[in-house]
Amino acid sequence: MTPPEETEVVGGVSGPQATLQKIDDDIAAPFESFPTTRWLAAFTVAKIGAAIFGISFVYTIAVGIGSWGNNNPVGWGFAITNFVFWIGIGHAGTLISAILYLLRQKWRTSIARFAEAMTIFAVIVALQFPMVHTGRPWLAAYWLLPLPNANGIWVNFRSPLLWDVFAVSTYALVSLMFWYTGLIPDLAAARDRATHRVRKLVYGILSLGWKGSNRAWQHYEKAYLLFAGLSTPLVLSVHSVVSFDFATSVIPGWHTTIFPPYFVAGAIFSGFAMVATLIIIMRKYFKLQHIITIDHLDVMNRIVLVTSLMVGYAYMMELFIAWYSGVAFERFAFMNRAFGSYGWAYAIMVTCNVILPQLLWFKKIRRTIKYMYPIVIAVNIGMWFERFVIIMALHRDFLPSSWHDFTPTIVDYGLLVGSFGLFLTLLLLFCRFLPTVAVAEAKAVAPGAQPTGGHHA
Amino acid sequence: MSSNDATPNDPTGYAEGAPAGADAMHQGLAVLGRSEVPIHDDHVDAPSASEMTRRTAMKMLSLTAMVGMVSGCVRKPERRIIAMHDRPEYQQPGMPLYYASTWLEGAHPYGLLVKQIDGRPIKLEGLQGHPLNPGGKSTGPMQASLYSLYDPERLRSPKQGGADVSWSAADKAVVGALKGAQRVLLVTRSTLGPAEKALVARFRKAVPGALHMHYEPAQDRVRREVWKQVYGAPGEVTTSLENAKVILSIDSDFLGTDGDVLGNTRGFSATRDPNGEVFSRLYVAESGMTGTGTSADHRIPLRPSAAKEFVVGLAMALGGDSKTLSASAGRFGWDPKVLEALVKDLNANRGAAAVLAGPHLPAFVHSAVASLNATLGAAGKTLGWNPTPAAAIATDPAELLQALNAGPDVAIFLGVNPMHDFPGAGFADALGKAKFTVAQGLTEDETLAAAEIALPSAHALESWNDAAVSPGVKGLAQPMIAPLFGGRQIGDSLLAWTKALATGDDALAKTKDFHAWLKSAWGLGQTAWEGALRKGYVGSAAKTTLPAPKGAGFPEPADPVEGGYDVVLALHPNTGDGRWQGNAWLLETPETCNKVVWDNVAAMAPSTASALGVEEGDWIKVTVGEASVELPVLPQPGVQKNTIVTHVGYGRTKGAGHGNGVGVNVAALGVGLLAAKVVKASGDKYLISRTQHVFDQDYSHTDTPVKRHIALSGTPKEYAEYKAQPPRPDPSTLDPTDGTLSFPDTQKHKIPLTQIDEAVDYSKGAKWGLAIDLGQCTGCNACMLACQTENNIVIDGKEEVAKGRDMSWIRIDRYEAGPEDNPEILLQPMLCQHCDNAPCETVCPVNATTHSPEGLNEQVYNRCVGTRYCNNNCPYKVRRFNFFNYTGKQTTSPVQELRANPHVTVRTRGVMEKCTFCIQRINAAKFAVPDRGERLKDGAVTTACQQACPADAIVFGDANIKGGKIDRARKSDLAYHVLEEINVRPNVTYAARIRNVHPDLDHPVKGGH
Repeated sequence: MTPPEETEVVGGVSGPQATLQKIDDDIAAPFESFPTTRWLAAFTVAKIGAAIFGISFVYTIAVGIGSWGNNNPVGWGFAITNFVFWIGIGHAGTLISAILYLLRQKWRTSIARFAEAMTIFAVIVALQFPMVHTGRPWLAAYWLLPLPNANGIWVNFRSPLLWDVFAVSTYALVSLMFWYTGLIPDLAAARDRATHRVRKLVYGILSLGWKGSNRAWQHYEKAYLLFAGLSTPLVLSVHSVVSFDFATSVIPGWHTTIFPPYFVAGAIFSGFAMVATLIIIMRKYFKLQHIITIDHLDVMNRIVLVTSLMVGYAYMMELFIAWYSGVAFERFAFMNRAFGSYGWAYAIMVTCNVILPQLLWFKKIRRTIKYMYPIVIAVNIGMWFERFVIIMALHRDFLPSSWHDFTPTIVDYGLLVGSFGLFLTLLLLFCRFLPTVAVAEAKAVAPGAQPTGGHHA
Repeated sequence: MSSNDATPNDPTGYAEGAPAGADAMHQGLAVLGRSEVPIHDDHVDAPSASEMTRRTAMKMLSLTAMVGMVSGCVRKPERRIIAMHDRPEYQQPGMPLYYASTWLEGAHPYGLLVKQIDGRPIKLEGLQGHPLNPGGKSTGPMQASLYSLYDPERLRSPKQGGADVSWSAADKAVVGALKGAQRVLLVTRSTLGPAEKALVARFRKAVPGALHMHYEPAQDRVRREVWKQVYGAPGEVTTSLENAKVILSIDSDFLGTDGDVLGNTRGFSATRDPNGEVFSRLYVAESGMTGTGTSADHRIPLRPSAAKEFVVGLAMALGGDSKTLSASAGRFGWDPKVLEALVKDLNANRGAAAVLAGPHLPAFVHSAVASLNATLGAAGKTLGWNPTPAAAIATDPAELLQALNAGPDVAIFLGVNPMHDFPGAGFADALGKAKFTVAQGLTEDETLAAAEIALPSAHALESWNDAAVSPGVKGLAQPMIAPLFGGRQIGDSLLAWTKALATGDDALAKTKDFHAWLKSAWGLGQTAWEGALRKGYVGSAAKTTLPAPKGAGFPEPADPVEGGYDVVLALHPNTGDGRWQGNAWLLETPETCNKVVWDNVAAMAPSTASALGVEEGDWIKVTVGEASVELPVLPQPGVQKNTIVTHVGYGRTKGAGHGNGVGVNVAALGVGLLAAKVVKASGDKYLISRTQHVFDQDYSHTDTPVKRHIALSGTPKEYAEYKAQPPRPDPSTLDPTDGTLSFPDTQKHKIPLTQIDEAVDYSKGAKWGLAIDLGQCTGCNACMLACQTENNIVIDGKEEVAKGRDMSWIRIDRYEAGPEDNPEILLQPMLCQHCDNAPCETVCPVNATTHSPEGLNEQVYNRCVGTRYCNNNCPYKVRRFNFFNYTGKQTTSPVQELRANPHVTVRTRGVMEKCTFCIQRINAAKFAVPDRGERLKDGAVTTACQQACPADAIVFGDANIKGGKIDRARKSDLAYHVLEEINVRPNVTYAARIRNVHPDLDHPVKGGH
């Protein structure tokens, strides 16, 4: 990676104005000032979205899955698509915060906090779906857990859905703890800067008495490293397990050994696209361009490009294997993906996930917001459709007599749109109340923070 | 009603010789008033104080607190508890009793075996050994009768001028009107029993000048009149198709709607074993698509108005002159090779051939068919004669109209609904001319609503009756439950009025009710009467032969109009002539051939549809004379060009419950076969709800078909070649590249299928399996309806079915192959395959679907949380999910809860369900064995679908019994498993269908489809 001219540290915080005090002030500004009209407007929109989600959610539980478009051949529809989509979004956060941390990719510091927060919220949103999609969520909520019960019935450890329960709950817990651990020094900073008693109290409690002592920092670093180590395998395992839902089935188009790596690549792909989508807006409105620089975006775009090639490879390999296997049902399933009732969705998927991201080969596009933004948005859309296309393998499986198309209802759309509302609500609250960039880490890569930098603060 | 004589027919024989006079009905029924249902006190099995642990004490404490809080707010309604100390004889709570009866809702009075639990009839079966139906088989409507019995739509009180009145007031009004009436018109169905007929005679004696008419909206009056003239009596031609080697049907759906369908199917299926002594060949020339055409070996699309040319040409060809036939073949597009084969076959099989013609065809055709059958020597061999059929010849509707237009003083309609289904125009006006109208029916239908006096009828299962079953055999029908809604059977109405009018007739005055009338009409001693009741019928079938036909001059029908359209108003395979239009079970059961539910549509050839410029859901206007109706279009391969086929009886407006507003009433057009003008009509796209959309099992996006090998068939030549091949390889080794190992597969078996899981040893106990013979299935839907009744399967309505949420546990898949104007059809009943390596079982996270030690795939409703993963992973897509609370939705009245089979769990919202192989029947059979460890004998368990199937296409049993039914079925060289190559190891075996094509037309093996 060639260091851009205007920076002193590769992927570091840029610009002469980035003094350590200024980093503190800039990062703290969003949660120390009165909310701007922009924030309030965004929050209102997000709240409306969240309300749509809530209404659709409650309506589904009150009335039944019949309020969705699902039917007998197509048992899963939008809900599981959304679930896989949001779980995938979460992956970027863990990848950035854990794997890149272990690989000493210092440029990650500016975006790690935000990406982690996004992970948490994406997982929270994702977790809504497995529950609400069951026929009897009031029972599923605890029967899916391995709790001893009077009937002596145990959960079925052969079911990939149960593996999901373990994988996703582990993921959610580890991500949460990882995120929170990273937050502690910054919460303490927020506490120390706080002028209002309530703020002081809340941040005080949340920062768990952090004093910034050398010992504390040592423990903190160890814990952070430990969590990074714990999270790293999860990046690979969670989406692999999610892909088992499909891969272990007998349904043509689902029964595919390529799914685990393909899903992981796809998850990272969509996750980075989502991080880019959000962070481009955030850095602008919270004026953090000097902390989250164009270099960061460039690096992220490169990862988007690489993962796009991976999913593109997977798409082609799926088709090849379907043909090479010679199995009539497999061949048909993939022909049907491209030319069946949901061929349009397949076309969107390929266009958004494979064709458009190729533009990122060009440096100019990678480093220009207005060019890259449509591309990352397209990737978000494309990845949602990827999951949709996979799940729609159900509409034409083995026996033509049972084939039936899936037509989503307004409740399906409500849950889809609403899930973004819920996600954004959580994200905006995060921006409002917590430091969106890891202050301590950002300082560590700021000009002058390094012993070799020449400027001792 | 007194029902002291009802005697259980106990097929197990335990009750043999038991003293009769059991007051079973009366006692059983007394508990049916809802408030009087014996309530088993839900006393809690609380541990006694000495056993109480601290934990229990805490539980009890919190429970008490909760109960206190709740009961403090709500005052519990008072409920009475009545002990069953006076238990009816034979009856044990929760245990079934079986009663013999007779099914009187159709033209053929089949024997019934009614299963009754705690006083509630909950299942109907055919009565085994009954002369008309020895196998004890069922039709779909027979199975669905229970829906109508418990239909909350039924009229609950007599009405006069729309207001509820008492029975005595209503009777008084009727009798008052009848007294001194000059002209009285009595209209009934044509299927009155002998006792009812005698009563009608007495009524007419008491009311001088009363006219009695048999009204049937769509009955085969024309054909019966022809038979009356040619055979010399108002009888009916019967069939003995088991003696037939060649059968020709000219637009007769004899396996579905026409005539004695159970008898026809039984006879036909007896000759359909390709390895049997006789393997018959069925030729069907038909206008629309029917189950019979589906079963044909050769099917000829026939323009119904050209039936005359067909029969005449055929008769001449049998006489050696085939010129006319080939000329007509050229004109109407019949396949000359098939006709040649047909003529050859008929000539070669004189004395073993039968020709059947559909009821809607003109008189000329029927008389020609009669002489054709005489030429073929069918009499006494394949065709018989019943001089006294249960159904009288229906009155000409014109006569009814004339009688009404004459302005009768009183017009009485019993069990008929001409306001809705009168063929042609003018009935409503004519009815207005009657000075006083009385109508009796199950629900307040169009005719009851228009009548001055409307009377609720008792359901056939609530009534006493008898029937002329066949020559020498009389059937008895006994009530299975007291009238649920205070209805009274038609016989009782007639008796009440006759008694009031026939003053001075002491014997009649002393006749308490129709039951007494019936009993005295039968004139049996108490023991003989009880014996008759127990048996369901008396007498044995007398042999009657078909007389030689007398030539009778019938007018030649007009030639088919070039460019014109034929319209066939056909009977619906489920709802018949519309008499079951209020039966939502029958409405939701798909039509055999186009899989449409909840509608009658204008089925037409796709080429006709494109000529008219219409697509599925568009509207056409059909005009016959002055009358016209608009119908939604369904292009359907196989329907004859320029022919519109639709079904009668639809478009009810009153009294049909869920059936109100369903479909279009086509009665205004007339009846049967009509020449019509057809044009495209405007109108919004109409939603036609179908349970199947893709009918090509080799459906592909490219020109190369995807060979799926799901439903298999072949020709005799292919079968012979297949049999000549070296023995089949081990079925566990299959070639995944070319579908299933099966007939007539070539042998390319490469990859051994292995099982990762530990193999389960099923050899110790029973191992349940089911086998279905595709060569036998006629698509009559009886299995679907039997399953619906037995297993409490819900209906969920047209919109839900359109969304792909039909709830049937067994469905009949239908696959078409070949040319669009005359495709080859394969039917395949599809149900849970109870796979030994079931993909559904591994994926359920909560273990709600598991495998039993006897090889059943079990679904535990209580444990199911509804992830629907099991159904996603089911290759056969036979699982059904309760997307809504369908049970709650369909139960509009508590009375419907009485219908449910108490031995099958009623499912709630959010739960997956599917075929259980009738596990409740398996368990019942096990309980019946004195030694519980004893192995059940082969045939000890019958599933509901198997029991109903008129063609005996379904076999169920223990596969571990060597030489047993399943063992034999599986060892047949036609046997295969659907999707065998995905290694789910299904327990349902299918036998490929052999299409018995004529040897001249048998094409060489190309690898079947």
